[in-house]
Amino acid sequence: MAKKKRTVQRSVKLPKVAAARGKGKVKLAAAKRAVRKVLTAKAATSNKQSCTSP
Amino acid sequence: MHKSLKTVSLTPEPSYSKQVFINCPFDEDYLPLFEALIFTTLDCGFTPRCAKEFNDSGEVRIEKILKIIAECRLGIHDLSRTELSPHSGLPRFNMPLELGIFFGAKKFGNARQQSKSCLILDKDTYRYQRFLSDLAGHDISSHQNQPEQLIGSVRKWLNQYSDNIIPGEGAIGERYKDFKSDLPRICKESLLQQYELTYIDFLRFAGLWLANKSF
Repeated sequence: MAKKKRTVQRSVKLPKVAAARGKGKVKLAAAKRAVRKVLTAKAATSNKQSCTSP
Repeated sequence: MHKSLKTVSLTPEPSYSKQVFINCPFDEDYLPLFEALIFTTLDCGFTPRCAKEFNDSGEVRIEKILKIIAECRLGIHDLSRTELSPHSGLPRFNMPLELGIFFGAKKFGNARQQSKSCLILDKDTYRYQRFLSDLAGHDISSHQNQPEQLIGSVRKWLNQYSDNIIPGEGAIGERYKDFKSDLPRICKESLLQQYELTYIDFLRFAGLWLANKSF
């Protein structure tokens, strides 16, 4: 069984302007969803590969 | 809200001692270095601030720059593009000007401003002596226009101002490559082309990626 990867809590502080909802082309909530979706899919692929490897 | 997203601290505002004024060129050629610089600053636990935060023309640009400089204890000044423009034949003085303002704030400001510290970068170690000889005596780090070298210099310098253990330059370099390989998919999920990304978008993606990624 693959060893569970330890998660390190990160605290990343963005400038106020990047935390404001109205700025940028991608809204903050949409950016969170996009990043989470890509990382989740990548983790799932990585997990699948580690489970199937001999 | 997804549990892991709680690790992203969007409020309260980052403290004075953790904000880093980024004084560098914003042209296309410099973009790989700029993105590496922003990512490294975030990965070291600091908050990058730069003139690209503004996209409205309601306020005079220099006023906005002065405001950012006043809010940052640290500054990273890259003088590598202090050279003659091929179009106008004139040198670009914005970076040396902003470095001068930073020095002025440190010298003549209040106690808080006097605690300022800066890292000066150039493409070669001694090139500045030919165009800014008054800087003699300051340590200048050279990055040779290589993002990997820039990551190493910035990480080494920020490490002295961090209360936490900062990852090594090799680890930050690997993370940066990892983030860059995820960025096209993140853009696709956001219905954006990568060339359409604004600075704020890049900052958000990099910050959220670092906060949510398991290391």
